[in-house]
Amino acid sequence: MKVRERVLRSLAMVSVLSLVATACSTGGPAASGAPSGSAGAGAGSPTPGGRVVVGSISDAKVLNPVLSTDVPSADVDQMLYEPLLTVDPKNGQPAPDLAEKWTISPDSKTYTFTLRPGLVWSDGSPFTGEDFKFTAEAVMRSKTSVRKNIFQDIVGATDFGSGKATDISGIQVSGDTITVQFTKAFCPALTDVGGFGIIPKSVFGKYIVPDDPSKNLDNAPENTKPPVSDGPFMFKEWVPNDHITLVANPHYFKGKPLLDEWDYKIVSDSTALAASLKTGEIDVGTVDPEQRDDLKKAGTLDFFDVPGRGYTYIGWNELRGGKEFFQDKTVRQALAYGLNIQEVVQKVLLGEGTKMIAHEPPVSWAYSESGLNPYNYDPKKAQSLLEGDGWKKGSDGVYQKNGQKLAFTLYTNSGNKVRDTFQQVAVEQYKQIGVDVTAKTESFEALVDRLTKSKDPKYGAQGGHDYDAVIIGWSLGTDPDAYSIWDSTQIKGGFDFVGYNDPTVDKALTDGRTMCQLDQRKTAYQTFDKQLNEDQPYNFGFDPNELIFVNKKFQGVAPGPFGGNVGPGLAMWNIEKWWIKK
Amino acid sequence: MSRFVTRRLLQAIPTFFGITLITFALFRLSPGDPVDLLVFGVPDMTAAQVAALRHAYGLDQPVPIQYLNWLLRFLHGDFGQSFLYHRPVVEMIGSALPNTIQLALAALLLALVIGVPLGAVAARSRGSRLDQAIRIVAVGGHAVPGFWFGLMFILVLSVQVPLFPVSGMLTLGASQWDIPDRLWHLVGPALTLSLAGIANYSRLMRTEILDVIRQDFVRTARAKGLREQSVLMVHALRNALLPLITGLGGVLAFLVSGAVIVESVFSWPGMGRLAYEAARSKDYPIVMAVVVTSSTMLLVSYILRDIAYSVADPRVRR
Repeated sequence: MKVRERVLRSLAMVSVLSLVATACSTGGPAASGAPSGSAGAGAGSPTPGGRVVVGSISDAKVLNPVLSTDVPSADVDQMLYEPLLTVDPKNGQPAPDLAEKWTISPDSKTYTFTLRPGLVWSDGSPFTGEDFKFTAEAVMRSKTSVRKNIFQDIVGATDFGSGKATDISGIQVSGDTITVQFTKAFCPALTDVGGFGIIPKSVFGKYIVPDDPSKNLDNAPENTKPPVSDGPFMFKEWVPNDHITLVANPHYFKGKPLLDEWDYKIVSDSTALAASLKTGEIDVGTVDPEQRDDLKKAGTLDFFDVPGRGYTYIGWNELRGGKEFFQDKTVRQALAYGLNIQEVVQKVLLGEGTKMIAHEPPVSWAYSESGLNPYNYDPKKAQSLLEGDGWKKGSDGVYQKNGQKLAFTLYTNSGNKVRDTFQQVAVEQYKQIGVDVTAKTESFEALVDRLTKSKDPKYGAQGGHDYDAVIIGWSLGTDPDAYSIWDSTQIKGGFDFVGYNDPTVDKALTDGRTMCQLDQRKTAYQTFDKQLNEDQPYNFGFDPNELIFVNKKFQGVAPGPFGGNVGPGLAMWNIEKWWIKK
Repeated sequence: MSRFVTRRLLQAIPTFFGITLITFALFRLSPGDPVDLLVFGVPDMTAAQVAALRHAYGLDQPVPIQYLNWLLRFLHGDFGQSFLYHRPVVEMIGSALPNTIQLALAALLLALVIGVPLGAVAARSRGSRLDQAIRIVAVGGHAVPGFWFGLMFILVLSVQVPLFPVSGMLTLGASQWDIPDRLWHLVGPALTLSLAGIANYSRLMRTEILDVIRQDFVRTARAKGLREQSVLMVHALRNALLPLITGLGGVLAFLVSGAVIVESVFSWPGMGRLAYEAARSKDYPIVMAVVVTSSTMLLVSYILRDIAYSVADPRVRR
């Protein structure tokens, strides 16, 4: 069973990687955010020294934001490389970091960042806007980076990437001012470009040759042993699949961290992680719901349950030959009423989650509950909706319409306990209202294949994917932009693999990308959420909490839903202020 | 003799390539594409960018060509670059392999040091309560799955009575050469891994000693008036050890493959952990390298076993 469980937890991790790549770097807001030392108030005065051991069930892969795509790498990058901007750990709104202020031009195409005075790298050399520009250039020249999406719309970026230009002309550096000019208005750039960890030109500069596009930093040894950084910590050593050790950066712009050392320790699964939290071998870690009570009882750990930034859902494939009933909004609404998500959350997460009724995470600045239908569990209503729509129960108790049964297959990836149970409950409850669901599982890799390739003979070219319904999850970045999941252009080749197509949503998503004032974007995403809530292209399922345990000896700990990546990263935004109570 | 060895080595070559071909085929033909997995959920990637990625990793070629490319590089001693870790595969293997070998050797040592005396004691007091107790331990050792024993070890001796660490090879901050700390971390995983070996060896020893005891030279030794203790421990034991030594190759192979599970229970940073992460992301350069290294170890240990047999028993050489 042990080995199986390991597979379970880790697969869950793989599948939450998704959108995280857009929002890897989150330092800590200097000007806004949680008051410093609030958790440590009254616990004595901060004393420097000591180490914190952060636990993870998966090792980092590469310590360079240009190349990293996974959560563990991003957790460590966040400690090493600081971005221009961060976000408020509570709601995700952009906040100053290396840049103390920024402006956006009226046409939303030009961003101007002003750097703080006197910034330096950990070796004492000055940090300049050239480092930022170089980072963008390094991404565009990389052969294996999957982060080009962040910089590709900057004027001249793709020309530089292909070698047609010797620098990215859209990035101008003058003293403390960085001007970034885009070819089109693109609001998520503020957190995407602004939130990207900046690497030192003094170290990696030698790998990029302006007039030779074949040169890149993809295989640089400094990707695994970074000598210079500007985040709260500096690299010391990495023993693969065992630990990574970082030490305090005396030149950190928010002040040298009180802790001397930051360790990232790898254990093989959540059981080992929980045991290590208990014995004190690990100080910070996220665990599964069923381990929560045991760890709470241990008495040596503080518990934080932080709302997640993602959700596990059932997607209804609207472009599926023979299952055209998924195109019918009434059917999808009935399927929303007919499933008791609260019970699922209780069963699979022991209550550690929130029912989702639309796309944006409830903790996001872009979310508003007003005007959204909560779709409270109501099997009677589900049935009356179906009957009003012309469905009649057959002798087998399953609804039928025009000779077609309300029957479909529900896929999920194997080895994920939460999804397994969700699937079982869905099959049972839908059966009770007269919907016949067959459960199927396959490996995560195989399921991704199924979702990303168009193979349905009837709708193939339009993006008809080879499944009826699927349980899977999104882990979302800090920006509310959801174009790649919901815009109708993303049915083919993008992540709208349910085939959802709605002009109101398309317009709202484009508005959210092109009208960059915060309240304009807020309006756009509320329109978008309202339409999704009405249409129910997914049963939006639930947003699982992140269950973070931190050893009680640490003071100043204040995890927030936007404090970093999923997992322990959410607690790391103010790491420089943590200290150990003796 | 050398002809025998040469023949066995030559025979191993097609086996070896067969293993790589089958692994590669299974791995690349099963659903799931490394690049699809990499870009799943990454917004605004253009089709051209995805194609460029696929080209950068050599995945735009037909699978048979990919295999031949891999084989060609391998024959030049190049395992390639890991997709996942952005560094040469050799580097990753180089850090994981010594850890797995260390664990396997420690387990082998434990199996010998505990298993052999247990068997000898059982043989000496055959039929007694002690013999029965040892038999129960041996059967138990065989029957208990390693991962369960490992979990219980952690639960009891790491969490409830914190005597041993839950995971890892070294305490954070300890020096690479801190031998006591290393041994302290090794106890749990090595004991878990050696469990079946202890059981095997104690049973094998008991049978062998009882066999040898009936032979003439033992009767002679007894007739000389030697004490039973020295008859058993010197004359009988030494002869009974022979099949044990010839079987070492097979046992080593068993330990290396068994290490995969033990590594995951004790978070031991060895080949098993490496292969697991790589397989999940379809990082085939690493998976292939792990397969090549471990199958080489397997083949070598089988050849060693055959050679040992042939030395012990000349009939095998033909």
